[in-house]
Amino acid sequence: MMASTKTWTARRPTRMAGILICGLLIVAAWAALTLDPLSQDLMKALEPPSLAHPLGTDHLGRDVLARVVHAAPRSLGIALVCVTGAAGLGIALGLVAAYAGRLADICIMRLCDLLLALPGILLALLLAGFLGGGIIPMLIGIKVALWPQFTRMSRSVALGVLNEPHVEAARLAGFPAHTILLRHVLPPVLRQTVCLASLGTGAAVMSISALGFLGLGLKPPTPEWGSMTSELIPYLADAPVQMAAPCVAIFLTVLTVSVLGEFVLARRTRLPR
Amino acid sequence: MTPSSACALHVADLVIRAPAGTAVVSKVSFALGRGQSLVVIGETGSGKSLIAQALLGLLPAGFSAEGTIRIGDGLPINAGCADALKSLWAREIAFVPQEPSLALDPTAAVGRQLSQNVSPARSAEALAAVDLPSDIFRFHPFRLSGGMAQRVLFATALASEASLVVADEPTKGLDADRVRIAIDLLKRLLRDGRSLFVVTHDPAVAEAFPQGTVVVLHDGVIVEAGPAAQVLAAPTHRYTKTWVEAHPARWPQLGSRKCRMPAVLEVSDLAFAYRGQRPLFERLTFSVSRGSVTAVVGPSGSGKSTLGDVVLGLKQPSSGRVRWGDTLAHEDRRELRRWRQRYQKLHQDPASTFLPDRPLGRQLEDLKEVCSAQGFDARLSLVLDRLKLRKVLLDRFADEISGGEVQRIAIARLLMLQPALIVADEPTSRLDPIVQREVLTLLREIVDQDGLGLMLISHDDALVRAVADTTVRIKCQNVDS
Repeated sequence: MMASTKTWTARRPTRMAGILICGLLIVAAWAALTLDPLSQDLMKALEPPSLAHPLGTDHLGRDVLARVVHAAPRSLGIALVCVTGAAGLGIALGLVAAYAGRLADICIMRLCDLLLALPGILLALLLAGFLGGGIIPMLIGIKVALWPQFTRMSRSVALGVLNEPHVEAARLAGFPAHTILLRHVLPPVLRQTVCLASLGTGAAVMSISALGFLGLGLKPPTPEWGSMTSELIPYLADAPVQMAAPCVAIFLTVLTVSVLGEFVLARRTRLPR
Repeated sequence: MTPSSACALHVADLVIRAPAGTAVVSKVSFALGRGQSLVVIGETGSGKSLIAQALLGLLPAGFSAEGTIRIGDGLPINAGCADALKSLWAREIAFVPQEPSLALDPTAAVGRQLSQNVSPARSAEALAAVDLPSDIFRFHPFRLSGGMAQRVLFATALASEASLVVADEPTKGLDADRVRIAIDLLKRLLRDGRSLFVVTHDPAVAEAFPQGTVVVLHDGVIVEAGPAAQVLAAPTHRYTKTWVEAHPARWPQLGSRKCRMPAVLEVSDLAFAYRGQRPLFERLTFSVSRGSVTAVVGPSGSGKSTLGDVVLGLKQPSSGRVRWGDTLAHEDRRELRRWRQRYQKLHQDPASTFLPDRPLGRQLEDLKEVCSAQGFDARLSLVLDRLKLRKVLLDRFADEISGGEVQRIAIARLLMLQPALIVADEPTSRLDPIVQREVLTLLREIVDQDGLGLMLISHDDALVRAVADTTVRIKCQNVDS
């Protein structure tokens, strides 16, 4: 108990800083929601930050702050849906592969190998294109590209846990398979996959932009972090702030997801000693 | 005999504090003569391992030490000064760690690990001194058996110039043969002129050095100290008396009543082999009847634990039959499921049989899902009373209570399932002698009162003689050393 109290106090400054940053971001976003993310003014293209445009303007003279803020629900929403879906599917299949015997293991893991052998973005592209473009096919494509890594990781963690004496004791006591998987195996698997999920969020945002760029996801004028980044690459030297803004947004998202994930797990389970 | 010339180690007023500030070890002083041995015995959690760690400057994070330590002819060192103590490693003080297979670097050949600080000639000499062939020099640790790895570790102590060797529980979790090897190696260090500081809960180690000193630690205080032969033969303090009495060889005969009861387990002509390997055991035939204890003994690696798993239906035998009452355990899956709960296992490391992040009480209540919920709470409190388990323990986690308490909670969990047979796989090899005696006496009582069968897997002959009615001996079939 001592050790855990100590860790909690030691972590407090970071947490305070996190809450502060979140608060500031929310206030800024509130103010920026009144701005129009689509209105162009080519005369004012690539202007550096000023009072009128706190993060400057992009190559079409659109306000970058307004675009970053308006993109947030879309980029975040799609990324989180993709990652939770992929993580759920991946972890479930990983547990089944670890528990259900050789045949299931071989089928699931070879499918994983097959999908992992293809570059993730290519797979998402193929699927989204095959299904006809639009948001839903894009979601499916990205999910399919993301789940195998969750399966690989959760299977290997689960195989280790299944060998532990507490699982054997539960089996001998006659607990059904789903109880063993949910109560004994899932918590350590979640602990290990949270970090993978937060990294996956960043990857998903970038995939959305790549698909958007190819006309398979969100169409160009729609503000969205990934496409904002790729649009501004040619102007990196002239407009570093405008380019950095969506990158920082993605970075903060990944950071927040990983901190939040760890926080939730720490509340549910005991902190490691 | 002035202390300055005759002392290998002199510790004065050593106090070790836990992170909360409470003194775990208070005002401990002792001296160890050159070429002598000093064995610290005491219960688990009495702080004896902390003393060894403090000597090496290796206290766990948050712990602090006060007092003075003088090693050899050096100046007295403040015990709180970990870096000063660490600077003496290999030159003045050597350490023999607990788990040989974990203590060697798996990526480097033995020779390289041995010759890190000393000349190859000297390390070759040290290897020869522990009866290892010189080929071992080129071997990587994975090619060594447990016993060989242990010899290599002692060779590192022999190769160093250190006059003082510290060994922390050198026999923990080892079978009888390996315990003998370890004691033999310790004696060799002594013959080589080194001084020995040994922390142990194993009576065999304490008795192996009758000429040396024994220090008995209880609740962080030295309750008795003196020449080993005298302390062990005529203990004066209450705790030491119980400790000496707790040696299995001194137990009254607990078992061997002759009345015949129906068998709960019959094993006939059983064999088990891992694929493509020689069988671990063959042609085993024995039975366990109600209200009796059958012991399974054999050296490590002989397949005792595997036999337990086969008997419980966890592993498929290569041939032969396992009969649970009227049921053939490996042939009828539906019957197996029906009887599953009544054939249970008691593990070696009880803490690991509970989820680490769920309070123990919750885990006992989880059993409602698998056995009749009717009258569950009443039955649970009966069982807890019977095992003398206080209710407060149930709010704790498995790593927060003592080994003996977790093992009793594990027994409580088994009793809630009303088993017909318990396979106890080395249930006490990680407990100190007094707790071991408590747990085994309790198990024997349960067997007698409830009329269940117990298959006791053990490597300790004295313990088996005291507890078991019949003994099954597995011979070692494929162990090289």
